[in-house]
Amino acid sequence: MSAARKNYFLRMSVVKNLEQNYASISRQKSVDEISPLIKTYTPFAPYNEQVLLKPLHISNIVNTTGNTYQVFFDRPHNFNFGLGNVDITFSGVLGGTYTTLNNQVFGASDALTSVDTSVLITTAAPLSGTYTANSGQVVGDYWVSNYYHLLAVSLECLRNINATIVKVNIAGGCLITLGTNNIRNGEYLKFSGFGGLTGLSGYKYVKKVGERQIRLYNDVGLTTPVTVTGTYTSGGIIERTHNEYCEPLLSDQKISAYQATENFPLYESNENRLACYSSDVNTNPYITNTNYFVDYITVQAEIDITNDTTDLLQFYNQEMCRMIIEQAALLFFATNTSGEDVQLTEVIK
Amino acid sequence: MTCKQIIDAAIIYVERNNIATDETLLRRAQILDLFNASKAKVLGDFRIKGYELTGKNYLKSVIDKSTYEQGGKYNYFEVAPAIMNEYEYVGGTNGCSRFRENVTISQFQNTINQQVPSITQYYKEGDYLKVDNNGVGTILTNYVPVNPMKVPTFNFEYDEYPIDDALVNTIFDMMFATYQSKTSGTPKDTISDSQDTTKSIAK
Repeated sequence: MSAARKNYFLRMSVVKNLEQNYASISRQKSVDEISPLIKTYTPFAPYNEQVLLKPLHISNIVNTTGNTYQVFFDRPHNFNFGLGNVDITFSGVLGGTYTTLNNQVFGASDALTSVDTSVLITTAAPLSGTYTANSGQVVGDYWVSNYYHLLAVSLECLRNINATIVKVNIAGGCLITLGTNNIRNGEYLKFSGFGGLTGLSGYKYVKKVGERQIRLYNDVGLTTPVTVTGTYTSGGIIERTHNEYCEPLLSDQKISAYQATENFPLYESNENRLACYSSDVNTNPYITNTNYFVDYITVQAEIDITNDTTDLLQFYNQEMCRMIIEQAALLFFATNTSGEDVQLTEVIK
Repeated sequence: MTCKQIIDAAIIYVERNNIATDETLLRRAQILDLFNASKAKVLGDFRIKGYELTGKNYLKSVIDKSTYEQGGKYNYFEVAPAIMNEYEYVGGTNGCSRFRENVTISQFQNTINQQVPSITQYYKEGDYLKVDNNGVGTILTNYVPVNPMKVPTFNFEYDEYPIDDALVNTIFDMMFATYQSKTSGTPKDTISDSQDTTKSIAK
Protein backbone atom coordinates (compact mmCIF):
# COMPACT_ATOMS: atom_id res chain seq x y z
CA MET A 1 0.00 0.00 0.00
CA SER A 2 1.32 3.46 -0.86
CA ALA A 3 2.37 5.92 1.83
CA ALA A 4 -0.37 8.32 0.70
CA ARG A 5 -2.99 5.61 1.15
CA LYS A 6 -1.66 4.70 4.60
CA ASN A 7 -1.76 8.37 5.56
CA TYR A 8 -5.32 8.59 4.28
CA PHE A 9 -6.56 5.74 6.45
CA LEU A 10 -4.70 7.07 9.50
CA ARG A 11 -6.11 10.57 8.95
CA MET A 12 -9.65 9.21 8.67
CA SER A 13 -9.11 7.10 11.76
CA VAL A 14 -7.69 9.97 13.82
CA VAL A 15 -10.56 12.30 12.93
CA LYS A 16 -13.19 9.62 13.55
CA ASN A 17 -11.71 8.75 16.94
CA LEU A 18 -11.34 12.37 18.00
CA GLU A 19 -14.90 13.17 16.94
CA GLN A 20 -16.23 10.18 18.87
CA ASN A 21 -14.32 11.23 21.96
CA TYR A 22 -15.34 14.87 21.58
CA ALA A 23 -18.98 13.83 21.46
CA SER A 24 -18.59 12.25 24.90
CA ILE A 25 -16.11 14.72 26.31
CA SER A 26 -17.83 14.76 29.69
CA ARG A 27 -16.23 11.43 30.41
CA GLN A 28 -12.75 11.85 31.86
CA LYS A 29 -11.40 9.04 29.67
CA SER A 30 -12.32 11.01 26.56
CA VAL A 31 -10.79 14.19 27.91
CA ASP A 32 -7.52 12.41 28.65
CA GLU A 33 -7.37 10.96 25.18
CA ILE A 34 -7.96 14.05 23.15
CA SER A 35 -7.01 17.05 25.28
CA PRO A 36 -3.51 17.48 23.75
CA LEU A 37 -5.02 17.39 20.26
CA ILE A 38 -7.99 19.72 20.37
CA LYS A 39 -8.62 23.31 21.31
CA THR A 40 -11.97 24.36 22.68
CA TYR A 41 -13.70 27.70 22.96
CA THR A 42 -10.81 29.50 21.26
CA PRO A 43 -11.89 33.07 20.41
CA PHE A 44 -11.35 34.60 16.98
CA ALA A 45 -12.61 38.03 15.92
CA PRO A 46 -14.24 37.86 12.48
CA TYR A 47 -13.29 40.32 9.78
CA ASN A 48 -15.35 40.61 6.59
CA GLU A 49 -17.75 38.25 8.41
CA GLN A 50 -15.26 35.38 8.30
CA VAL A 51 -12.26 33.81 9.98
CA LEU A 52 -9.56 32.14 7.91
CA LEU A 53 -8.61 28.53 8.51
CA LYS A 54 -5.18 26.97 7.95
CA PRO A 55 -1.89 28.84 7.33
CA LEU A 56 -1.47 31.29 4.46
CA HIS A 57 0.89 29.88 1.87
CA ILE A 58 3.44 32.27 0.38
CA SER A 59 3.64 32.37 -3.40
CA ASN A 60 6.27 35.11 -3.83
CA ILE A 61 8.41 37.63 -1.92
CA VAL A 62 9.48 40.80 -3.77
CA ASN A 63 11.76 43.60 -2.60
CA THR A 64 9.93 46.92 -3.06
CA THR A 65 12.34 49.43 -1.55
CA GLY A 66 15.20 49.31 0.98
CA ASN A 67 14.44 46.60 3.52
CA THR A 68 10.74 46.51 2.69
CA TYR A 69 9.41 43.32 1.09
CA GLN A 70 6.03 42.53 -0.35
CA VAL A 71 4.86 39.05 0.57
CA PHE A 72 2.29 37.50 -1.78
CA PHE A 73 -0.11 34.77 -0.69
CA ASP A 74 -1.98 32.11 -2.59
CA ARG A 75 -5.38 33.55 -1.50
CA PRO A 76 -6.84 36.70 0.07
CA HIS A 77 -5.40 37.20 3.56
CA ASN A 78 -8.47 38.89 5.10
CA PHE A 79 -6.31 40.95 7.51
CA ASN A 80 -7.95 43.83 9.35
CA PHE A 81 -5.41 46.65 9.20
CA GLY A 82 -7.92 49.01 10.76
CA LEU A 83 -6.46 48.09 14.15
CA GLY A 84 -2.81 48.58 13.01
CA ASN A 85 -0.21 46.09 11.85
CA VAL A 86 -0.92 42.37 12.05
CA ASP A 87 1.75 40.07 13.54
CA ILE A 88 2.65 37.12 11.34
CA THR A 89 5.24 34.35 11.85
CA PHE A 90 7.11 32.81 8.91
CA SER A 91 8.05 29.16 8.46
CA GLY A 92 9.30 26.93 5.66
CA VAL A 93 10.69 29.76 3.52
CA LEU A 94 13.49 28.61 1.16
CA GLY A 95 16.16 30.35 -0.93
CA GLY A 96 19.16 32.55 -0.08
CA THR A 97 18.98 34.49 3.16
CA TYR A 98 15.18 34.48 2.87
CA THR A 99 15.41 31.52 5.23
CA THR A 100 16.24 34.01 8.02
CA LEU A 101 12.57 35.00 7.96
CA ASN A 102 11.63 31.61 9.38
CA ASN A 103 10.36 31.60 12.97
CA GLN A 104 10.49 35.41 13.09
CA VAL A 105 7.50 37.62 13.89
CA PHE A 106 6.87 40.65 11.66
CA GLY A 107 4.24 43.35 11.96
CA ALA A 108 2.68 43.16 8.51
CA SER A 109 1.18 46.31 7.03
CA ASP A 110 -1.24 46.97 4.18
CA ALA A 111 0.30 46.69 0.71
CA LEU A 112 -0.34 49.37 -1.89
CA THR A 113 -0.86 46.88 -4.70
CA SER A 114 -2.55 43.48 -4.60
CA VAL A 115 -3.89 44.58 -1.22
CA ASP A 116 -6.10 41.53 -0.74
CA THR A 117 -3.40 38.97 -1.39
CA SER A 118 -0.17 40.57 -0.15
CA VAL A 119 1.34 42.46 2.79
CA LEU A 120 4.46 44.54 3.43
CA ILE A 121 7.13 43.63 5.98
CA THR A 122 10.34 45.42 6.91
CA THR A 123 13.42 43.35 7.76
CA ALA A 124 16.42 44.39 9.87
CA ALA A 125 18.82 43.74 6.99
CA PRO A 126 18.46 43.25 3.22
CA LEU A 127 17.74 39.71 2.05
CA SER A 128 20.09 38.22 -0.53
CA GLY A 129 19.93 35.30 -2.94
CA THR A 130 16.76 34.14 -4.70
CA TYR A 131 13.55 33.26 -2.95
CA THR A 132 12.25 29.81 -3.91
CA ALA A 133 8.78 30.45 -5.33
CA ASN A 134 5.81 28.93 -3.50
CA SER A 135 7.85 28.01 -0.41
CA GLY A 136 6.85 28.84 3.14
CA GLN A 137 3.77 29.97 4.98
CA VAL A 138 2.72 32.43 7.65
CA VAL A 139 0.71 31.81 10.78
CA GLY A 140 -0.68 34.08 13.49
CA ASP A 141 -3.21 34.41 16.27
CA TYR A 142 -5.45 36.33 13.91
CA TRP A 143 -6.87 33.23 12.27
CA VAL A 144 -7.07 29.49 13.00
CA SER A 145 -3.54 28.70 11.86
CA ASN A 146 -3.20 25.26 13.46
CA TYR A 147 -6.61 24.11 12.22
CA TYR A 148 -7.01 20.48 11.18
CA HIS A 149 -10.70 19.63 11.58
CA LEU A 150 -13.70 21.58 12.83
CA LEU A 151 -15.65 20.23 15.80
CA ALA A 152 -18.02 23.04 16.80
CA VAL A 153 -18.33 26.80 16.71
CA SER A 154 -20.35 29.26 18.74
CA LEU A 155 -21.15 32.79 17.67
CA GLU A 156 -21.14 35.81 19.95
CA CYS A 157 -23.09 38.77 18.64
CA LEU A 158 -24.57 42.03 19.83
CA ARG A 159 -28.25 42.64 19.13
CA ASN A 160 -29.76 46.11 19.33
CA ILE A 161 -33.00 45.59 21.28
CA ASN A 162 -34.55 48.60 19.49
CA ALA A 163 -36.18 50.02 22.60
CA THR A 164 -37.51 53.56 22.45
CA ILE A 165 -35.78 55.75 25.02
CA VAL A 166 -38.47 57.95 26.57
CA LYS A 167 -36.35 59.74 29.16
CA VAL A 168 -33.26 59.40 31.36
CA ASN A 169 -33.29 60.55 34.96
CA ILE A 170 -29.79 60.78 36.47
CA ALA A 171 -30.75 61.80 40.00
CA GLY A 172 -29.84 59.11 42.56
CA GLY A 173 -28.37 56.74 39.96
CA CYS A 174 -29.48 56.32 36.40
CA LEU A 175 -33.15 55.61 35.75
CA ILE A 176 -34.17 55.02 32.13
CA THR A 177 -37.78 55.02 30.96
CA LEU A 178 -38.31 52.87 27.88
CA GLY A 179 -40.97 51.88 25.42
CA THR A 180 -41.97 48.25 24.78
CA ASN A 181 -39.03 46.05 25.77
CA ASN A 182 -38.03 42.54 26.86
CA ILE A 183 -35.32 43.48 29.35
CA ARG A 184 -35.11 41.30 32.46
CA ASN A 185 -33.78 41.89 35.96
CA GLY A 186 -30.03 41.29 36.28
CA GLU A 187 -29.22 41.42 32.58
CA TYR A 188 -25.79 42.74 31.54
CA LEU A 189 -26.44 45.08 28.63
CA LYS A 190 -24.34 47.43 26.52
CA PHE A 191 -25.30 51.11 26.40
CA SER A 192 -24.11 53.67 23.85
CA GLY A 193 -25.12 56.84 22.03
CA PHE A 194 -27.04 58.56 24.84
CA GLY A 195 -26.77 62.22 23.83
CA GLY A 196 -25.73 64.78 26.46
CA LEU A 197 -24.73 62.22 29.09
CA THR A 198 -21.32 61.17 30.42
CA GLY A 199 -20.87 57.81 32.14
CA LEU A 200 -23.69 56.04 30.34
CA SER A 201 -21.65 53.87 27.99
CA GLY A 202 -20.38 50.30 27.94
CA TYR A 203 -21.77 47.32 29.81
CA LYS A 204 -24.03 47.85 32.86
CA TYR A 205 -26.16 45.62 35.07
CA VAL A 206 -29.86 46.29 34.91
CA LYS A 207 -32.46 46.30 37.65
CA LYS A 208 -35.99 46.35 36.34
CA VAL A 209 -38.02 48.64 38.56
CA GLY A 210 -41.13 48.73 36.37
CA GLU A 211 -42.46 47.28 33.14
CA ARG A 212 -40.92 50.22 31.29
CA GLN A 213 -38.26 51.45 33.71
CA ILE A 214 -34.74 50.20 34.43
CA ARG A 215 -32.07 51.35 36.85
CA LEU A 216 -28.38 50.78 36.04
CA TYR A 217 -25.69 49.34 38.33
CA ASN A 218 -21.97 48.66 38.10
CA ASP A 219 -22.03 45.35 39.98
CA VAL A 220 -23.86 42.07 39.57
CA GLY A 221 -25.29 42.39 43.07
CA LEU A 222 -27.09 45.57 41.95
CA THR A 223 -25.77 47.61 44.88
CA THR A 224 -23.52 50.26 43.24
CA PRO A 225 -25.58 52.59 41.03
CA VAL A 226 -24.04 53.95 37.86
CA THR A 227 -23.05 57.63 38.15
CA VAL A 228 -24.11 59.64 35.13
CA THR A 229 -23.67 63.38 34.57
CA GLY A 230 -25.13 65.85 32.07
CA THR A 231 -28.59 66.36 30.61
CA TYR A 232 -30.10 63.78 28.29
CA THR A 233 -30.84 65.16 24.84
CA SER A 234 -31.67 62.31 22.47
CA GLY A 235 -30.65 58.92 21.13
CA GLY A 236 -29.45 55.87 22.98
CA ILE A 237 -28.79 52.30 21.95
CA ILE A 238 -29.16 49.26 24.20
CA GLU A 239 -27.60 46.03 23.00
CA ARG A 240 -27.78 42.47 24.30
CA THR A 241 -24.98 39.91 23.91
CA HIS A 242 -26.00 36.54 22.51
CA ASN A 243 -23.68 33.56 22.46
CA GLU A 244 -25.04 30.39 20.92
CA TYR A 245 -23.52 27.32 19.31
CA CYS A 246 -24.11 27.26 15.56
CA GLU A 247 -25.74 24.61 13.45
CA PRO A 248 -24.34 23.90 9.97
CA LEU A 249 -25.77 25.88 7.07
CA LEU A 250 -26.19 23.06 4.60
CA SER A 251 -26.17 23.94 0.92
CA ASP A 252 -29.55 22.33 0.28
CA GLN A 253 -31.06 24.29 3.18
CA LYS A 254 -30.00 27.75 2.03
CA ILE A 255 -33.42 28.15 0.47
CA SER A 256 -35.08 27.28 3.77
CA ALA A 257 -37.34 29.80 5.50
CA TYR A 258 -35.42 29.03 8.68
CA GLN A 259 -32.61 31.49 8.21
CA ALA A 260 -30.06 32.19 10.93
CA THR A 261 -31.06 34.34 13.89
CA GLU A 262 -29.14 35.52 16.93
CA ASN A 263 -30.80 32.70 18.89
CA PHE A 264 -30.28 30.06 16.19
CA PRO A 265 -27.05 30.96 14.37
CA LEU A 266 -25.65 28.92 11.49
CA TYR A 267 -22.14 28.39 10.12
CA GLU A 268 -20.48 27.25 6.94
CA SER A 269 -16.90 26.33 6.26
CA ASN A 270 -15.42 26.29 2.79
CA GLU A 271 -12.44 27.63 0.83
CA ASN A 272 -10.38 27.62 4.04
CA ARG A 273 -12.72 30.07 5.70
CA LEU A 274 -15.25 29.85 8.49
CA ALA A 275 -18.31 32.09 8.35
CA CYS A 276 -21.02 32.33 10.99
CA TYR A 277 -24.43 33.89 10.42
CA SER A 278 -26.76 35.57 12.91
CA SER A 279 -29.21 36.64 10.20
CA ASP A 280 -29.76 35.87 6.54
CA VAL A 281 -26.24 36.37 5.08
CA ASN A 282 -25.60 38.69 8.07
CA THR A 283 -27.70 41.45 6.54
CA ASN A 284 -29.59 42.47 9.70
CA PRO A 285 -28.28 45.97 10.51
CA TYR A 286 -29.22 45.58 14.19
CA ILE A 287 -26.88 42.62 14.78
CA THR A 288 -23.07 42.76 14.94
CA ASN A 289 -21.06 39.54 15.08
CA THR A 290 -18.23 40.05 17.57
CA ASN A 291 -16.51 36.71 18.15
CA TYR A 292 -16.35 33.12 17.00
CA PHE A 293 -15.51 30.54 19.66
CA VAL A 294 -14.10 27.56 17.83
CA ASP A 295 -13.63 23.96 18.99
CA TYR A 296 -11.27 22.21 16.59
CA ILE A 297 -8.72 19.47 16.14
CA THR A 298 -5.23 20.94 15.77
CA VAL A 299 -2.58 19.98 13.23
CA GLN A 300 -0.86 18.23 16.13
CA ALA A 301 -3.25 15.34 15.47
CA GLU A 302 -1.78 14.67 12.03
CA ILE A 303 0.29 11.49 11.91
CA ASP A 304 3.13 11.37 9.41
CA ILE A 305 3.94 7.74 8.70
CA THR A 306 7.36 8.70 7.31
CA ASN A 307 8.37 10.29 10.63
CA ASP A 308 10.22 7.71 12.71
CA THR A 309 11.59 10.13 15.28
CA THR A 310 8.50 11.64 16.95
CA ASP A 311 7.05 9.54 19.74
CA LEU A 312 3.28 9.48 19.21
CA LEU A 313 2.77 8.79 22.89
CA GLN A 314 3.68 12.42 23.51
CA PHE A 315 0.34 13.36 21.98
CA TYR A 316 -1.79 10.21 22.06
CA ASN A 317 -2.18 7.97 25.06
CA GLN A 318 -1.68 4.23 24.66
CA GLU A 319 -5.38 3.42 24.40
CA MET A 320 -5.92 6.11 21.78
CA CYS A 321 -3.03 4.74 19.67
CA ARG A 322 -4.58 1.27 19.78
CA MET A 323 -7.98 2.64 18.79
CA ILE A 324 -6.52 4.60 15.86
CA ILE A 325 -4.76 1.52 14.49
CA GLU A 326 -7.90 -0.57 14.94
CA GLN A 327 -10.10 2.04 13.26
CA ALA A 328 -7.63 2.46 10.38
CA ALA A 329 -7.68 -1.31 9.83
CA LEU A 330 -11.48 -1.33 9.79
CA LEU A 331 -11.53 1.53 7.29
CA PHE A 332 -9.03 -0.35 5.13
CA PHE A 333 -11.17 -3.49 5.04
CA ALA A 334 -14.32 -1.44 4.51
CA THR A 335 -12.89 -0.01 1.30
CA ASN A 336 -11.01 -3.10 0.10
CA THR A 337 -13.32 -6.05 -0.22
CA SER A 338 -11.82 -8.23 -2.94
CA GLY A 339 -9.24 -10.94 -2.26
CA GLU A 340 -6.85 -9.28 -4.66
CA ASP A 341 -6.91 -6.09 -2.66
CA VAL A 342 -6.36 -7.80 0.67
CA GLN A 343 -3.28 -9.95 0.85
CA LEU A 344 -2.31 -11.18 4.26
CA THR A 345 1.31 -11.80 4.98
CA GLU A 346 2.13 -14.67 7.26
CA VAL A 347 3.64 -13.54 10.51
CA ILE A 348 7.13 -14.87 10.95
CA LYS A 349 7.70 -15.84 14.55
CA MET B 1 -39.08 25.40 30.90
CA THR B 2 -37.34 27.91 28.68
CA CYS B 3 -37.44 27.66 24.87
CA LYS B 4 -34.00 26.03 24.91
CA GLN B 5 -35.16 23.44 27.43
CA ILE B 6 -38.25 22.69 25.31
CA ILE B 7 -36.00 22.08 22.28
CA ASP B 8 -33.61 19.87 24.26
CA ALA B 9 -36.53 17.90 25.66
CA ALA B 10 -37.91 17.40 22.13
CA ILE B 11 -34.52 16.10 20.93
CA ILE B 12 -34.39 13.64 23.83
CA TYR B 13 -37.96 12.57 23.01
CA VAL B 14 -36.90 11.90 19.40
CA GLU B 15 -33.86 9.89 20.49
CA ARG B 16 -35.66 7.86 23.16
CA ASN B 17 -38.49 6.95 20.84
CA ASN B 18 -36.16 6.09 17.95
CA ILE B 19 -38.06 8.43 15.69
CA ALA B 20 -36.73 8.55 12.16
CA THR B 21 -35.89 12.15 11.38
CA ASP B 22 -33.64 13.85 8.91
CA GLU B 23 -31.23 16.68 9.63
CA THR B 24 -33.75 19.24 8.42
CA LEU B 25 -36.15 18.44 11.23
CA LEU B 26 -33.40 18.58 13.77
CA ARG B 27 -32.70 22.27 13.13
CA ARG B 28 -33.44 23.74 16.54
CA ALA B 29 -35.49 26.63 15.17
CA GLN B 30 -37.68 24.17 13.29
CA ILE B 31 -38.21 21.99 16.34
CA LEU B 32 -39.44 25.03 18.26
CA ASP B 33 -41.71 26.02 15.38
CA LEU B 34 -43.13 22.51 15.19
CA PHE B 35 -43.72 22.63 18.94
CA ASN B 36 -45.55 25.96 18.54
CA ALA B 37 -47.80 24.57 15.81
CA SER B 38 -48.59 21.41 17.74
CA LYS B 39 -49.28 23.44 20.88
CA ALA B 40 -51.73 25.56 18.88
CA LYS B 41 -53.51 22.40 17.75
CA VAL B 42 -53.66 20.85 21.25
CA LEU B 43 -54.77 24.03 23.02
CA GLY B 44 -57.12 24.96 20.17
CA ASP B 45 -58.85 21.57 20.53
CA PHE B 46 -59.15 22.18 24.27
CA ARG B 47 -60.84 25.51 23.67
CA ILE B 48 -63.23 24.00 21.10
CA LYS B 49 -64.20 21.37 23.68
CA GLY B 50 -64.79 24.16 26.16
CA TYR B 51 -61.90 23.38 28.52
CA GLU B 52 -60.41 26.25 30.49
CA LEU B 53 -56.70 26.84 29.85
CA THR B 54 -54.59 27.28 32.96
CA GLY B 55 -52.83 30.58 33.58
CA LYS B 56 -49.43 29.10 32.81
CA ASN B 57 -50.32 28.97 29.11
CA TYR B 58 -50.87 32.72 29.00
CA LEU B 59 -48.35 35.45 28.43
CA LYS B 60 -48.86 38.93 29.79
CA SER B 61 -47.36 41.71 27.76
CA VAL B 62 -47.24 45.49 28.18
CA ILE B 63 -47.03 47.15 24.78
CA ASP B 64 -46.96 50.69 23.46
CA LYS B 65 -49.10 51.87 20.57
CA SER B 66 -47.63 51.31 17.14
CA THR B 67 -46.66 54.01 14.69
CA TYR B 68 -49.45 52.90 12.37
CA GLU B 69 -52.46 54.84 11.05
CA GLN B 70 -51.79 57.59 13.55
CA GLY B 71 -53.80 60.78 13.79
CA GLY B 72 -57.29 59.21 13.79
CA LYS B 73 -59.58 58.40 16.68
CA TYR B 74 -58.10 54.89 17.06
CA ASN B 75 -54.80 53.60 18.34
CA TYR B 76 -53.21 50.44 16.97
CA PHE B 77 -51.18 47.94 19.00
CA GLU B 78 -49.14 45.26 17.26
CA VAL B 79 -49.74 41.81 18.74
CA ALA B 80 -48.61 38.29 17.92
CA PRO B 81 -51.06 35.63 16.71
CA ALA B 82 -52.99 34.05 19.58
CA ILE B 83 -54.54 30.61 19.95
CA MET B 84 -58.09 30.78 18.57
CA ASN B 85 -57.46 34.51 18.03
CA GLU B 86 -58.48 35.17 21.64
CA TYR B 87 -57.06 38.13 23.50
CA GLU B 88 -58.48 37.49 26.91
CA TYR B 89 -57.71 40.73 28.64
CA VAL B 90 -56.72 44.03 27.10
CA GLY B 91 -56.59 46.98 29.41
CA GLY B 92 -54.78 50.22 30.02
CA THR B 93 -51.79 49.96 32.30
CA ASN B 94 -53.32 52.30 34.86
CA GLY B 95 -55.30 49.33 36.17
CA CYS B 96 -58.77 50.85 35.93
CA SER B 97 -59.55 50.94 32.23
CA ARG B 98 -62.39 48.81 30.95
CA PHE B 99 -62.20 47.23 27.52
CA ARG B 100 -64.70 45.21 25.52
CA GLU B 101 -63.65 42.78 22.80
CA ASN B 102 -65.47 42.77 19.47
CA VAL B 103 -65.19 39.74 17.25
CA THR B 104 -66.51 41.25 14.01
CA ILE B 105 -66.02 44.66 12.43
CA SER B 106 -69.81 45.27 12.40
CA GLN B 107 -69.97 44.47 16.11
CA PHE B 108 -67.11 46.92 16.63
CA GLN B 109 -68.86 49.67 14.65
CA ASN B 110 -72.24 49.01 16.24
CA THR B 111 -71.01 49.25 19.81
CA ILE B 112 -69.09 52.43 18.99
CA ASN B 113 -72.20 53.91 17.38
CA GLN B 114 -74.25 52.96 20.43
CA GLN B 115 -72.12 55.36 22.44
CA VAL B 116 -70.77 53.36 25.34
CA PRO B 117 -68.26 55.93 26.49
CA SER B 118 -67.07 54.24 29.66
CA ILE B 119 -65.98 51.05 27.90
CA THR B 120 -63.25 51.20 25.29
CA GLN B 121 -63.90 48.91 22.36
CA TYR B 122 -61.18 46.91 20.63
CA TYR B 123 -61.08 44.76 17.55
CA LYS B 124 -58.39 42.51 16.02
CA GLU B 125 -57.41 43.79 12.59
CA GLY B 126 -54.55 41.95 10.90
CA ASP B 127 -51.50 42.08 13.16
CA TYR B 128 -53.02 44.87 15.24
CA LEU B 129 -55.51 45.44 18.00
CA LYS B 130 -57.53 48.47 16.93
CA VAL B 131 -58.54 50.36 20.09
CA ASP B 132 -61.31 52.92 20.04
CA ASN B 133 -59.51 55.49 22.17
CA ASN B 134 -56.53 57.43 20.90
CA GLY B 135 -55.77 58.49 24.48
CA VAL B 136 -54.66 54.96 25.41
CA GLY B 137 -50.94 54.81 24.67
CA THR B 138 -50.00 51.61 26.48
CA ILE B 139 -52.03 48.45 27.08
CA LEU B 140 -51.64 45.22 29.00
CA THR B 141 -52.50 42.16 26.95
CA ASN B 142 -52.93 38.60 28.16
CA TYR B 143 -53.21 35.78 25.66
CA VAL B 144 -51.91 32.38 24.61
CA PRO B 145 -49.46 33.17 21.83
CA VAL B 146 -48.93 30.69 19.03
CA ASN B 147 -45.24 31.59 19.01
CA PRO B 148 -44.04 33.46 22.13
CA MET B 149 -40.91 34.60 20.31
CA LYS B 150 -43.12 36.84 18.20
CA VAL B 151 -44.23 38.69 21.32
CA PRO B 152 -41.97 41.75 21.60
CA THR B 153 -41.74 41.54 25.38
CA PHE B 154 -40.74 37.86 25.47
CA ASN B 155 -37.13 37.18 26.47
CA PHE B 156 -35.76 34.03 24.83
CA GLU B 157 -32.97 33.56 27.39
CA TYR B 158 -34.74 34.34 30.63
CA ASP B 159 -38.46 33.68 30.23
CA GLU B 160 -40.28 30.43 30.76
CA TYR B 161 -42.07 29.19 27.65
CA PRO B 162 -45.78 29.85 28.38
CA ILE B 163 -47.04 26.28 28.52
CA ASP B 164 -48.45 24.15 31.29
CA ASP B 165 -45.78 21.51 32.01
CA ALA B 166 -48.46 18.81 32.10
CA LEU B 167 -49.12 19.37 28.39
CA VAL B 168 -45.56 19.10 27.11
CA ASN B 169 -45.60 15.35 26.51
CA THR B 170 -49.01 15.53 24.81
CA ILE B 171 -47.62 18.16 22.47
CA PHE B 172 -44.51 16.06 21.75
CA ASP B 173 -46.79 13.11 20.89
CA MET B 174 -48.68 15.37 18.50
CA MET B 175 -45.43 16.77 17.02
CA PHE B 176 -44.00 13.42 16.05
CA ALA B 177 -47.20 11.49 15.39
CA THR B 178 -46.51 11.44 11.67
CA TYR B 179 -42.84 10.48 11.98
CA GLN B 180 -42.09 6.77 11.85
CA SER B 181 -39.99 4.93 14.33
CA LYS B 182 -36.59 3.83 13.04
CA THR B 183 -37.17 0.36 14.50
CA SER B 184 -40.08 -1.69 13.23
CA GLY B 185 -41.78 -3.97 15.70
CA THR B 186 -41.18 -7.71 15.31
CA PRO B 187 -44.41 -9.74 14.95
CA LYS B 188 -44.87 -11.89 18.00
CA ASP B 189 -45.60 -15.60 17.70
CA THR B 190 -47.27 -16.11 21.04
CA ILE B 191 -49.18 -19.33 20.30
CA SER B 192 -47.31 -22.60 20.79
CA ASP B 193 -48.81 -24.46 17.81
CA SER B 194 -45.71 -24.98 15.64
CA GLN B 195 -47.12 -22.36 13.27
CA ASP B 196 -46.46 -18.66 12.90
CA THR B 197 -49.32 -16.53 14.13
CA THR B 198 -48.46 -14.05 11.40
CA LYS B 199 -48.68 -15.12 7.77
CA SER B 200 -45.42 -15.08 5.88
CA ILE B 201 -45.29 -13.54 2.41
CA ALA B 202 -44.20 -16.88 0.90
CA LYS B 203 -47.36 -18.66 1.98
